[in-house]
Parts: sequence; structure tokens; C-alpha cells
Amino acid sequence: MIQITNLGKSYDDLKKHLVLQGLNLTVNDGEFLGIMGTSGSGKSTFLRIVGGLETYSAGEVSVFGQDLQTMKEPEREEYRKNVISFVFQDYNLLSGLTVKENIILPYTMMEKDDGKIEQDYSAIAKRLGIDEFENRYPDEVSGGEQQRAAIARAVLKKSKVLLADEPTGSLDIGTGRKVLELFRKINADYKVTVIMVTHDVLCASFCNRVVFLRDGQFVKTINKINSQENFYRSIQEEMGKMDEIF
Amino acid sequence: MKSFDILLKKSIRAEKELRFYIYAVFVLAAVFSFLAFLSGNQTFVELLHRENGMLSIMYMLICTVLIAITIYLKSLYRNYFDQIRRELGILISMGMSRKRLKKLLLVKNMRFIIIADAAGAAVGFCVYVILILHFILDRDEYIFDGILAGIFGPVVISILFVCLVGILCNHRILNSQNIYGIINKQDGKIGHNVNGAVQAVIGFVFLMGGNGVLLYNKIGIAEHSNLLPIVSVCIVCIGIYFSVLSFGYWFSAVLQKKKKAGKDLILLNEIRNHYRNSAKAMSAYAIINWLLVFLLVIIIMLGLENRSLDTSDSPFEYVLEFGEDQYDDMESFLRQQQNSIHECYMIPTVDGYAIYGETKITMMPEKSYNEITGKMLNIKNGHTIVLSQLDRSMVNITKEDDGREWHYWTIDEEIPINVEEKKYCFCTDYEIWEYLFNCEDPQKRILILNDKDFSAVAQQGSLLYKLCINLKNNARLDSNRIPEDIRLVGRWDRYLRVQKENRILMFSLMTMLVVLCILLLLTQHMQYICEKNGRKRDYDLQITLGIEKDCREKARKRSLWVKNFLPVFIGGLTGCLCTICFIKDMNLYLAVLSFTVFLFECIMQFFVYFMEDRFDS
Repeated sequence: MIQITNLGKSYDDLKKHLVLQGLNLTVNDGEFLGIMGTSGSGKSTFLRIVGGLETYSAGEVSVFGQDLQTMKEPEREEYRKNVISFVFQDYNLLSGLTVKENIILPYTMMEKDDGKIEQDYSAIAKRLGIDEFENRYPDEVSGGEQQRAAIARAVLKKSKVLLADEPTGSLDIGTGRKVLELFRKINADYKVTVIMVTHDVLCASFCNRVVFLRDGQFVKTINKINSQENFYRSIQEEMGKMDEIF
Repeated sequence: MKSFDILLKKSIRAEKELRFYIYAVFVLAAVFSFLAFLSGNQTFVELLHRENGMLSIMYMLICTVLIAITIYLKSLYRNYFDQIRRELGILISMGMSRKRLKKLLLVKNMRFIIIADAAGAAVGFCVYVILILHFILDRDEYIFDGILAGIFGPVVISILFVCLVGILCNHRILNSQNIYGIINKQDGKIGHNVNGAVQAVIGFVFLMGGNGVLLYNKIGIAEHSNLLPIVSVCIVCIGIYFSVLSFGYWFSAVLQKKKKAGKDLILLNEIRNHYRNSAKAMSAYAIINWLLVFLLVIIIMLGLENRSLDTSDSPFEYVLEFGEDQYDDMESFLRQQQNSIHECYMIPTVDGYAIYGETKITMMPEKSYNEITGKMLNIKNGHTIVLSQLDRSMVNITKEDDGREWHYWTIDEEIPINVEEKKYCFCTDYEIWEYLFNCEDPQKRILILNDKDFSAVAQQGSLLYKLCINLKNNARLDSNRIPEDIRLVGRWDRYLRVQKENRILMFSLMTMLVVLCILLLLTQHMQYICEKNGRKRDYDLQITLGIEKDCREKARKRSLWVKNFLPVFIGGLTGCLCTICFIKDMNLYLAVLSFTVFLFECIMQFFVYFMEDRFDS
């Protein structure tokens, strides 16, 4: 379980510009949570804090009972290696490795058997259509292909928590749907907690719950209770209201 | 299937930048090694010791070179590190251990650094042996003696230490908890203008203050420690550093206040961004320019001094030194040479040590002085007059109200002297500066004693006679008849030796000049690499914004002007001021010479600007 209590973040010492303020959130194990909000609302910052990639100024972030801020460095490494997988908004592939090598890199870090790595890789590569360009380097493929590679890298690890920052931003509708279905599958089959930042209503409708962020605070939560269609409409309505205010 | 280690090594690559770094370690190790061996050379050290304050300047120069090497290598490693920083951040975000990453980088790079360092030091040593020992000093010294081996090790270790400091400082970036910042090269908050204002004030105060202290040391009556000019020079260097560093702030402030500030936005962007990146390199550049002016003037002065060298400091054609046991032999020699000798004087002397500072001194009787000069000194018992065989203009002389002058020892001061384990005390009356006889070591003082006092001292110590001879016209001294073990100090021998020593000194200083020019090129390069990537990104962005090429070019050229000439102006002008304040016998000619050197630097810099402009565009 991820427990966020009174989370605050500012980028200046005088705390004049608060990116996040007084955030409270509980994410249950195996939940598929969507985070939506207008530009500059702090969605990506929030995700990076939960992923242990940024520090925070106030409050507490507790993941499976451990407070991120008080963790020692070996514990943090373990956290990033085994607990969290991150899909960056700007992919962050290593330019010196091929697409395939980028995808299997974190898996090899976990010292898995070569046969297992190859087997798991083949499954995911086929599913996301990566095998066509797996031996090319990141700067030789398109943004959409890089994004698929970044998703595959995160998904292959099968860690407890998957954090995805706009994972379908560069993808066409068909491929985007495939990615979301993959997220849903690993969430259902492996009980991986997925937290996804998105501004796309359709993407958000794949989640179990969507929270809305505005001016650094959670302002609304919509749970998927009834049909998919109702859920979609509720999200669309809320986003519409946010856009008006913005 | 490739293992993690192979993938890890493959993912961290910046071969070109690392290669350049290794080459730089090699070159700088060679330069530093050469300087270290030069500073360990006895002949060279003795020569500098005689030139007032030059030894301190040389050690200061070596320290400056080491500091410059440290900064340069740190920046160069940073350039390499920036190329792989994003990859390192991504690996850390995936759970890779920071410690393991840092260790991997260190182990991977240190072996190349050690090889480059040792090879460079060896090359520097070879250059020293060939150039200095064989070519300049014309000596066949056994090159693997203890002293030389004792320098090689510390040189290699110093450069290794410098590299390690730079590497570890850069690796600290990986300790940041803001991993996203490591990936995106966010180095913390941008400095506010307040820092620029403070830097500008510090720079100005230190520049003026440092030169003021130098001037005070020069014109002041009191004799200050040799540490004072060194401290003043350090203050001036700090002043230059902060002045150049803060230029981005106050130039931007001036630009913003202009009416047509909007037209200068591109230049403002250049100054705010690129200047900040290369300001430290430019500061180093300015300091080196300052040193260049200073060193060039010293070299030219030495050259002129060499040309105007005369034999006025050697009143006699020959001075023969011998002990009591050879007195009879020398008397016999004198009788044989009678027809050739125009005049001769026999001066008995006794050597001793001034107890404080263990300074070696020579004592002689008053009657010998009277015999040579015809002047009466009327020295009382227990008193002495200090004779310094130096040019008066080279020292700070204190004149008392009663007209008595002194420099070396305070007048009416008791000087305890040790002569063969027996202690004597004499009170100084005053000091005189003249060349009484040929002297090889002008720093060695002579105490003229009352005849009675001298006799008492002579009984305790060993007498050393100085036979001062002037020959008749066209006469020659038959050196074959001079008994063995007699020391001969000939006028022309000394003249030629001093001339040669000056040439050695000049050459050694010129090699330092070459070293400084190498450092200058390196700092230019450092500036270039600091700006390269950022400037390209900016230009690409400006093109996408529709900014005209002429506008971009104009801003680029103006920025290039600032980058090229600001360090030269600040460093060069400060160098002139410092030289004027530092050199004791400064005159209008030397002042003009300093400014001429500065103008020459500006002309040379113009060529560099021209080449950079062509290369950049």
C-alpha cells in the first residue's frame, strides 16, 4: 500500500512557489490509479516523488510501510530496483544500447536466468511490436517506438508498482490501447499497482480510480463503480470543468 | 545474451571526451614535471635566490600552475562526465547502486590516467635533462641520483591527486537525491543577481587593495617580509577572478538599463548563459595574461641588464684567496710577478656566523679598508661598520636623523658572532655600500672591525687572505706560477659567469613563459568546450523563432569580443599595474615597456579572435 500524507513540494528555498501542497492519498495494493489535471498541476512531480526520483519538502510518502525520506541509500536502491518501475514522459532510453538491450537492462540487473529473460522479452516484444526494430539504437527510431521500448522496459521487470508518466502521449490510438490493455493485464494477473499520469480521458477510463490534481492539491476522486461508459463520462465531465477553470 | 556488466559498460561511453582528458593529463604531467625538476636544480635555485624575491615568485608560479592544472582537469572531466550523466541518472533510477557506478567509472578511467601521468612525467623529465642540463647548463649529471628520483615520485603523485580530486568532485553530483535532476542536468538553482554585485565589489576592492599593498611595500621605508609581495599578488589574483566572474552581472545590468534594451536581448541571452559557463575559464585566462605581462617584463629587464653588465662591481683584475699556510708561497709569487703588478693589497679576513639566522659573514680590519680607499672610519672597540657590496638602488635604505644609514642590520644593535665556537658581540654603527674587492656572493656581508678587535678575532679563527691585484697595461698574470688550491676571482671570469647565469635565468623564465602560453591555450579551449553545446542549442532555437541571421551574427561577434578581450584587458592592465608596483627600480621606460607588452598581448588576442570568428561562423 502507498500512503501519502500531507505531501508538499516547492522548488525554491523560500517556498514561494508550491508545486504540491497538503496532498493526501492512499493507493491500495493492486490498484490501477489514474492521475489527471491541467498543465503545471504537479502530476509528473508527484509521480517522480513516489518513484523516489525527487525529494519532497513536507509530509510523508510511505510505500509498503517504509517512509521514502528516511530510507537509507541501500534501501532506496532496492526500492528503485525491485519495487518500482518507471515509464518516463521523455522515455529516457540509453543512447549507447539498442532497443532490445535497453529493455532487458533492468532485468539483467536482477540477475535473472538468460533463458527466462529471453522468454519474457519475446512475449512483450511481440505484444508491443518491438521485434521489428529491436536492434536499432534509440536515435534511429521514432518517438512512438521509443515510448513502446520504455514501456516494455518497465513492464518486463514485473515490479510491485508501475509508475507511468503519459505513457501513450506519442502513440496512435491502436498502439495506445494495446499498452493500456497490457497495463490492465499485469494489474489483474500479477497484482501490480499501476499509477498512471495522463491527460487523456480514454486512457484514464482504463483505471479503477481517477484522482484530479489542481494547483498542487487533489480536488476530486472518481471511482469506477458502474459501467465503463458512465465512468468515462464522469471523467470527461470533470476534465471539462477543470479546463473551464483553467 | 549479454550480461549486465557488458551492457553497463556499453551504456556509459564518451570516448572522444575521455581521450581528450587523458591526453591533457599526459601534457600537463609533462609540463608540471619539467617545472618541478627545474625548481629542484641547485644552479637555478641559487640564481633566483640572488634576484630579490624571484625565488618566491617562482614557487608561487609553480603553485599557480598546479592550481590551474587542477581547475582545468576538473573542468575537462566535467565535460566528459556531462556526456554520460544522463545515462548514469537513468541507471540510478532503475535501481543501480551509486557506489557501484562511481567505482566502475573510477576503476575504468584511473588506469589510463596513471599511465598518462607516469608517461607525461617521464617526458617532462627527459625534456629537463636534454634542455636544461645538457643544452643550457652543459652538464653530464648522473640522472638517477636520489634528488631526481625524489622529485619524480611526488610529481606523479601530485598529478594523480589532482585528477582524483577533479573526478571525485564531479562524481559528487551522483549523490544528489534528485535523480530526475541528474538525468536532466539540473545543477540546482540559478544564482541571483545579488551574488554578482557582491562579486563585483570584492573584485574591485581586492584588485585595488592588492596593488596598494605592493606599492606600499615598494615605497615604504620599513623592510617587510618576502611574504608580503606574495600575499599581495594572491589578493590581486582573487581580485581579477571576481572581477571577471561578475562581468556577466554588471554588463547585463548596464545593457538592461539602455533605452533600446529590447534590441539587445540576444546579446543579453549570450552574456547571461554562455558567459556564466565560461566565466571561470575566462578568469583563469585573465590571471595568466597578468602573469605573462609580469614575466615578459622581468625577462626583458634581465636581457637589458645583461647587455649593460659591466665590471664596476669588480674593482680588481684578480683577487686571490688563500689561507695562512700558503702565505709564504704567495709572498714568493708576488715577488715573481712584481714587474707585472700595478697595485696590490693584502686583506686579512676571518669568516664567522651571525648567530641569529646563521648568516655567514666576513670580518676585516679597518686598516685594510683605509689602505684601499684612503678613508678613515674611526671605529671604536666593540663596534663595527657593515659593508654591503651591492648597488644601493637595489635595497631599501633607512636613514636616521643623524645621517647614519642602514639596511641589513639595525644600527646600535648588538650582533652576536660565532667564530670557531667562540662568541663575540659587536655593535653596528652604520652601513656602507661599495665594491671594495671582487666578491662572488654579493649577499655575504662584511664587518669592518677596529684593528684591535680584529686581532682578537683572528687569534680565535683561521685567517683567510685576499690578495687584490691590478696589473700594469698589457701585463698578464702567469697563472702557472699560482700555487695550487688558491682560489682566483678574476674580473672578467666573474663578468662572463654572471652573464651566463643571467642567460640561464632568462632561458628558464622563457620556458615558464612557454608553460604559461600552453596554459593560456588550454583555458581558451576550456572556454570553447564550456559554451559549445549550449550555444548550438541556442542558435537552433533562435532559427526556429525566426530571428534573422544578421541579428544572431551581430550578437555572436559582440559576445566573442567580450570573451576574447575582457580577460586580456583586466588581466593585462592589472599585470602592468602590478609590475609597476612590484619592481623596485621601476622607471618610465619600464612602465612604457609594461604597456607595450600589454598592447602586444591585445594584438595577439586579436588574431585569436579572428581565427575563432572564422571557426565559429
